This record gives sequence, C-alpha cells and structure tokens, in this order.
Amino acid sequence: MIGEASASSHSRFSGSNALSHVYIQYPPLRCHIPGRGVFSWKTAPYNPYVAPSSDPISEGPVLSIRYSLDLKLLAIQRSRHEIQIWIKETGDTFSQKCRSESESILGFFWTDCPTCDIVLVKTSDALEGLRQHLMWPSGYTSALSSAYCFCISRSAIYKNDVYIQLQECFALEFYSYNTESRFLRLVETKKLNISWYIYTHESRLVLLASGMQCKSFTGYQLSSAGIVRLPRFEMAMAKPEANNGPILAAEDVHLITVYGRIYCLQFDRVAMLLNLYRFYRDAVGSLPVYSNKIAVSVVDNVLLVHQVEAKVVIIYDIFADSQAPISAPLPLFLRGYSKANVASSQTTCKASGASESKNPSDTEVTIYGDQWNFLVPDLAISASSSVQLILEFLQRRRLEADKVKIHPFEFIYGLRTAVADVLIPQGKTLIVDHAKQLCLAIARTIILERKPVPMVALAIDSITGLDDSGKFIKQEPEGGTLNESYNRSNLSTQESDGSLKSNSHYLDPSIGKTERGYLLETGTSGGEVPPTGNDQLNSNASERNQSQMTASAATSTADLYTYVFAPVEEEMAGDGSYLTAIIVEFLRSASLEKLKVHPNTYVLMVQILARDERYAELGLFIMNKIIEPSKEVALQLLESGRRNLEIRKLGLGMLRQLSLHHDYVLLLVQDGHYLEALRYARKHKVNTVRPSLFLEAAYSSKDPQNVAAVLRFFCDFIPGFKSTSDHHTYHRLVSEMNS
Amino acid sequence: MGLTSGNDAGEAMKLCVFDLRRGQTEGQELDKILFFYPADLPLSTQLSVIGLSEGLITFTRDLILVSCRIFSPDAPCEVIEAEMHSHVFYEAEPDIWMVMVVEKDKDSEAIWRVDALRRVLKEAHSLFVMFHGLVRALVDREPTGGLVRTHLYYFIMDFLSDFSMGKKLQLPNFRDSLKERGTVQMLTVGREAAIEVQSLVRVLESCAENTHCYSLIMFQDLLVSTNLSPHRGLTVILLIPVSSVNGEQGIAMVKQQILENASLKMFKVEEKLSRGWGGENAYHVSGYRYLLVDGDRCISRASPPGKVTTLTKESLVALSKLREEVDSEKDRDNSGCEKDLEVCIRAKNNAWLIARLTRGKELYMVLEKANETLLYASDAVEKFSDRLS
Repeated sequence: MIGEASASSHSRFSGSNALSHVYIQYPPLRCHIPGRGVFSWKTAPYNPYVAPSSDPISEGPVLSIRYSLDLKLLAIQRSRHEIQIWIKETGDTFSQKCRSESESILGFFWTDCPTCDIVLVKTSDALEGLRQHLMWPSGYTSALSSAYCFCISRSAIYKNDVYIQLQECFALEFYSYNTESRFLRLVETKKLNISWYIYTHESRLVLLASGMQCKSFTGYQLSSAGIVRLPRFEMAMAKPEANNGPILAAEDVHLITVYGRIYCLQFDRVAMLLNLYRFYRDAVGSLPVYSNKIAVSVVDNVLLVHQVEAKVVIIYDIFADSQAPISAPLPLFLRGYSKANVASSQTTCKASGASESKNPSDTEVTIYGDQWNFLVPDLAISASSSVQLILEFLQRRRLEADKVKIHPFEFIYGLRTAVADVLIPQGKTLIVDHAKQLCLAIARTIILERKPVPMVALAIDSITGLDDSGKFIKQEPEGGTLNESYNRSNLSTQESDGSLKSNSHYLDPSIGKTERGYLLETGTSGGEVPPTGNDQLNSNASERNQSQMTASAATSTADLYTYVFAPVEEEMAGDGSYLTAIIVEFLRSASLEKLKVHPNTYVLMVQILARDERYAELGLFIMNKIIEPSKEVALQLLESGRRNLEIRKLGLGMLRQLSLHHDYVLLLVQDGHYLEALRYARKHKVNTVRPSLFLEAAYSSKDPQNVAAVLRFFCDFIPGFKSTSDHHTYHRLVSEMNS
Repeated sequence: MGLTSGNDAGEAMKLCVFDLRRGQTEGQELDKILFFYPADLPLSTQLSVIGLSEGLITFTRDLILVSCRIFSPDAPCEVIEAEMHSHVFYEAEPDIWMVMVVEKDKDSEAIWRVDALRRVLKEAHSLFVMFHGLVRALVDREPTGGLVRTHLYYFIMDFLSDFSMGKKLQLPNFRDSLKERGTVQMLTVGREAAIEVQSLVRVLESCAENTHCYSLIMFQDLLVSTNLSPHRGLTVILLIPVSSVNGEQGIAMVKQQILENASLKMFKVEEKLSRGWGGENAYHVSGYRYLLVDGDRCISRASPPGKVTTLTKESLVALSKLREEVDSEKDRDNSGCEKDLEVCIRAKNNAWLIARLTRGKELYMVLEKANETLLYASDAVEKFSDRLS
C-alpha cells in the first residue's frame, strides 16, 4: 500500500524535484546514548562520523544546560532556584542559588562580555508556582506575576474565563566567574518590568518584552565590547477587531543574524505578516506568512521562513533590500532518505492513517512534524525521536552564481505546485488565496524593482496559468521557454552577481568571531526604532487587495490588471516603455494561452503610450490589433486624442469598426463633420441622434446653404419633421441668414 | 555608385540649390549657388536658371503682398509651367531654395506630376538634414560656402544615383501614379505575429539599456514595426543616439547584447513572418489597380508594380492628371481641416479613374475592365474601402 502511494506521490513531486528544494544535508542523527552524561556534537562544521564528546554529570534533574563559550564550564539548571556549574578541567562543581524563595531562575546564558561571564534572568514571583499549572491559550501567552506590580487587561476577557495579564518584576543579574576562587560574583543587577525575554547567542542580544500586549521592547547586547542598552521600541500589531489587542508571545519573536546584522522578526498572527526590524533603523518591512505555525532559520546568511503548515520553506535575502523571495517556496527534503520515502511520509501525514504511522522510520522523517523544535540559526530538533537535524541550504552557492535564475519564475511555479498538491486537496482555500495574492505581489515587486523584462515575463507567464478557482491550469512550462529564459536571465544577472560576491567578502564566514558587523555601532545615535504601523504601506495594500480578491472571483488576467499593472503604473509613473514591454510580454503569454485580456489593460496601454507621446507605436498597436478593439479602448483613444488628432482618429475608426454607430455619428457631429455624419447616419440607419445637434453644428458654420442642406435632409428622411419645432426654428434662421 | 557629372546628350533635368541671402551684390551672383546639377553646365547657364527662379520667387512674393487670395501665402512660388519646361520650387529652409527643371514632352515619358517631383526635393532635403544638419547651419559655419557645397555635392549626387537608369535619370513620372514617395509600405501581420514582433522590439530596446532608442523592423522591404516616422530601411535597424552610448566599446556591447539576447527571437519572428508572407503579389486585389495612402502615418499600400504595368499609358496619364488636380485641391484648402472628396472620372479609353479622400486617407484607383455605369464604379470603391478599413 505504501508502495502504491509512493509511486503516485513520486510523480506528483517530480515537478518540484526538477527544480530546487531545500534539503537537510545530513541524515538525521540518532542518539544511541551509551550511558549517562552530556553528549555534544559540533554542528558547524558538522561531521556525522565524529563521535560526540561526552561529559559526565552528577545525578539530578536538568532544566537546562549550557556550555561556557570556552567550553571549560558547563552550567546546569537544577531547579528554579539553583544553577550548578561544572568545571570540566577538574570535574569540580559548585552551585549558585537564589537568595530567597520568592526568586526563581527563568534562564541563563554565557557571554564574552568583559565585565561578566554569565547572566541569570530571574523573577521575583510569589505566584510562580501558579504559572506552571495554568494553561494559556496559544497565541495569547500571558505571564502571571508578582503581587506588587500588575495590571489587568480588560480586553482579554474571553468566554467565562478571566485571563489576567500581569507584569512581573524581572531581574537581569550579571555575574563574573572567578577562576581562582571558583565562584560567581554578582557584578550588576538590572530590575525591569517585563513579561518575557528571548536571547540568542549569535546576536548576543537579550530582548525583554513589556507592556499590555508585550510589544514594547528593551534589550541589552552583551558582547566582548561591553554591555549596550538598546533604545526602547514598539512593535506593530494588527488588531483583529476593535478593543481587542492580541498579546505578543515569546515564540512569535525571533532574533536572527544575517550578514552580521541583527534583525528581529515578529510574527503578527492577525495580519499574517512577519515583520522585520533592524536595530537603530526603521522597520525593514514585512513578509507574508502562509501558515499559522512558522519557524525561521538562517543558513549562509539567507533567511528561511518555514511555513510549517504548508510544508514549504520560503527563502529571502534580506540584504538585497528586497522583500521578494529569492526562490520558490521549496519543499524540505531529508538527505539519505529516498524521495519516495519522504513523499510517502507526507502522504501518511496527509491521510493521517493511524495504522501506517506505526512504522517508526516513517514518523522519524515526517517533515515539519509536530515535535519539531527549531533553534536559531539552523537547527531543528525532533523531540519525539531524539533526532537532531541540521538544515543546510546548499542552493545558496548556486544562488550567488545566478540569483535571478531561480527568481521569481520558480517561486511562482513552486507555489503552484504547493497549491495544487497540498493546499487544494486539503481545502485550504484561504491559503490558496494567499498564494494567488503572493504571486501577484511578487510580480508587482519585481516590476517596481525594474528586473529584466524576460524575467518578469516568465513570472507573469506563470501567473496567467492561474485560473480563478486557484487551480493552475497550466501544469508544465514549455521546456524551451524555460531554458531559453535561463540563458537570457543568466546574462542579465552578471552584474548583480558581482555585487553579491563583493558582499560575501564583507560577510566574513567566521561571523561568530568577528564583532565588526554587530550592532554595537556605538557611534550611532540610539534613536528609537519607530513602530511600523504607518510605514507598512505595502502590507496594508496587500491586505486590502486580499480582501477584495476573496470577495470577487475575477479571472487571472483581470487580476493582473487590478493588482499588478494598475498599481504599478501609478507608482512608477514615468517609465512607460518598461511597463509597455512587460504588458506586451503579458499579451504574448495570454495570446498563447488563448486567454481573454481585460479591456482595462488595453486602456492602460493607450494611456501610457499617449502620455509618452509614442504615437507611432500606439497607431501600430491599434492597427495590428495588439490592442484589441473595444468601446473602452475607443473612448480612451478619443480622450488621449484631445492632444493628438491622429489618435482621436484611431478612436473614431475603432467606434466605426465596432459598429457603435450612434457614438460614431455623435462624435462626428461634435467634431464639426456634420455632413459626413449625415451620410453615415443614413447609410447605417442611425436615427438616435437628435436632429437639433446637426442643425446647431450647421448653424455655427454660418453658411445658410449648409443649414438648408441639413434641414432638407431631415425633411426628406424623417417623416413629420416639418411639423417639429426644430424645423420651424431653423427654417426661420435660414431665411434670416439669407436676408 | 555615384553619378557622372557629365552631361551627355543634353541632360533633361536640372536641379539647383541656392541661398537668396548670398550674392546679392552685382558680380557676386555665383556666390548664391550652393549646388547645381549638371555641374558641368556653363556658369552663365547656371546663373540664368537661378536668376529666372529668383525673379519668379521675388515676383510671386510681391504679388502675395498685393493679394493673398490668388497665391497661397505659405509658398510664394510652387511651380512654373513653361512651354518646354516645368520649374518645380521648394523652399527647403527660409531663403534656401531647391529648384528642379524638367523638360516636358507630351509624346514621350516626360509627363510629370509636380507634387511627385517636389516630393523628390523634399526627400533629398530631409535626408540631407538627417545626415548633415540644416543647410543654413552649414552656410553659417563656413561663410565661404566651401563646406556646404562639398556636402551637398556628394550627398545629392549619391541621392540622384538612385534614379539613374542607364545613362539617364528616371524621375517619377506618370507611370508612378500609383506610388507615393515618402511613404513606406507596411506588412500586414496577424495579431499573434504582431505581438511577437513587439516582443522582439522590446528585447532589442532593452539591449540598449536605459537609452531611448528608435527601432525599425523591415521584412521584404515592407515595414513591420517602427516607433518613428520612417524614411527608408534595411532589415533590422536599431537607431541609438550615439552620444549616449559609450563610444566604440558601448556599441560593441550593444551588438553583443543583441546577438545573445535577441538573435533567437529574431529568427523566430522571421520564420513566423515568412510563413505568413504571401509573396510580392500578396496585396494584389484582382480587378483593381490602387494606391492607398495614410498621410498621418506615412504609410501606403499599392497594387504590386508588376500588376500596375498592365495598365495602358492613357489610363496612367489620366490618373496622373487627376492626381495633379487633387493635389492642387488639397493645397487650395488651407483651413486646416481635412478634405473629404470623391472623384470618379471616365477616361477616353473607358477606364474609371477614382480618387477618394476621407479622414486623411487617400485612395486612388484605376478600373480598366469595369462596367459602364458610375454606380458600378462607386460600388466597387465602396466594397474596396470596406475591405481595407
């Protein structure tokens, strides 16, 4: 049965196999723990054949454990009140205990700061015990607190339960280790009202959250240059509904180090956005999220956002100042397991057949299993199977060689695979909408970034294959097109390639050792990092677009107009030829697919060409019917033709061609060609234009003969015209003119 | 290439360029001649041609002052029909005149339409300006006139060599009544092919990076696409302002880009166009000999030359006369709005000659094997127009 499943899934995955994927470089590491002790593996560089080093530790509970930076000391948290330090050289131990029972240790970390070696994060919390027994709803992690400093969040009243969000008094205690006398000496204590903290060694940064929604942050960086306090800053959070502010949880904030710069990522669950902050800078931007559970890794200075529910990784190069992903959403593969195995495990997962998952090897390799625990920068630990995984994104080197190659066509293509294979079968329509929106957003971004036309063309080509139900009607791209475009885009990337390489010089691979890129740019004035609510125009726009998109089931070519061409034109006003080139490519792709193009796209083209005074081209586009005739286009031509007679004529010609006789006759009269209008009206039996219009036009020519001719025309061809007031009026006027 | 300046057997055509602002003092008259063809004509003859022309120009200018109704105020003098010669005038730039003198001979091929001849002068001038800039600027740059004379000589001689048939110059005469100088014929392509072509154009443009460039794509001497008002073309011309490209190296780079990026696409487009190309008689409409001119876009379409030659001389001469009338009718009306007119004439040889002007488009037609009635002719035109619009 498994065989059958794997066969079908194999073919299904062939699409993405042909392209790139993220994979785990090494086979999962299984722990066969030979005895008691602490086993450690060097992860960078990782060699699976090197046996772990082991250190014996005495019996007793272990809440957490960390080696000192020189690996000479091992700190083990034994209880909420005690940390035990084990000296590797001698095997001796000593303990650091809290002074009072009301204090408890939340965590600790080692540092290479000159003034201290280890920092303990403590809370003086009388009710700490309670915290352990309360279950908090996910996403609303709330802290419970000490008696002397709390407040109640009224908005957090939920059903019959009252969640009390209380602030605690935390303390950061900085200790230095005295090598000779072997004890920890308290150097400094910083008392703060905070709700929770996070720390990563890569950034040497401890970030402390406070406030009702836990979105106010202070932080300290403890590096070899000293302790630096970060200015306080707020993170932006979308409100789900009025007066109900969500509370930011520690698990939704990630600290990452990319190219020696520290970024803070905040997952806004309401807006489904991953907001990016760089310290001492404005918010960098936000990335869309397609899963309720995400994790982040950094490999080779590339940010990997694991969309755990969608089971794909989206990859960003933040340094490139672009928020467009640099690759397709890629499935994650395990090396050392056949693809069929991986696929079948996914099938298992999807089908959730209980009987099959009994096989332990299956559960072990379940990608993004529930037990997966991601550690920054690039580790994932699966708790259930005691398997440690190392993620490495080997594509990175290829990316540097030709970054554009993967971008963005593969992205959309990859997304398409994900949508067709995973999301639609699972009925995740909201995510399908997200995916669609993402495709359009990418197209928008790359156009605004003025990426080479062939590249944008491929991206748009992929989008035009997406029909309104979210299914991709075009399954495979033409092989030829793909290769050709690859060759083409290779060329265009040479330049960016160079710049990227020079970047990577600057990005010393031994980033852990160098202090250069760290945020300890002491010279920089520590202005507050402003909240991002206002400057996230893009995200706001995309939100708005998203809601519109779900509301209307428009076709994809219409979407391209509404969400790509129109907004882009508005934003980049000026570079008409670039946008024209892109629309031409779009028309090409739509014509090959036999898709109907929304008239507004043509109207836009007319506007652009007329604005840039490219009349010769506009004429050609109309004549060759590259711009298909429609009333909308004709009216736009007439409008744009106010400044150019030839263009106006094109509009008139189109009206005639479309047999819009009434409009045509009306316009002829307006332009003063009333005699021709009469001829035409007679030939095509147009009797909807009022005779008085013709008569007025003739009268304004001040030629009594003309007025008489028009009068005569109506007398001859409209029965009963002689008894109308029009006839009387103009008959009198003619005789006055003659006299 | 090149045309001998020798005037054997008495050249029937004279062409001169002169500057009215020069040589106004006696004895200095030669100074006003900037170009004269044939160059070996005695100076006295050259001076008499120019003197006559100048006299006519001045005379008609004075007349205009007297009465604006007789002569058009825009062009003091356009043509003088003498018994043996026609003088065609064209004021290329203020006070820079081009005059063409052609012999008339009712019995030979020498039956001219003035506007067709003037178009030759216009074309010569506009091409000269394209390569060398304004004549006036050259005159001002070097007041002795040596520079402008050298440039004009080599340029116009080369230009005229295009008209040489054996030893004589063959200027557009009545046999070219179904041709319009200064327009290009367009290749009609389907929408799909047109999009492919445009896609190619964009790729070509992108090769020139950020420079604004003009492109012209021709297929079998027919214009496929352009973003400028065209003169004449090869197969694919990419006109890039040289100043914006970084010297030789820049041009080489553009070349390289084109080779790498666009050559495959070019090949595909060519293949597509060839498949849809109906041969040189593609635009023949059986029963009709026609010329359709879109003055707005400087494009035209006509019966293939091989089919036009089947018409009798009478028909062609009559058409030439009709066109002459239409030309003067167009000139007469300077109100700025476009003339709409339709003329159907029965020639002596019973051929129908038709001219129709609507909305800036001109249609000329000869129907030799047509029915007797005017109604038939008018219907035929109607059908034809419907088909082309």
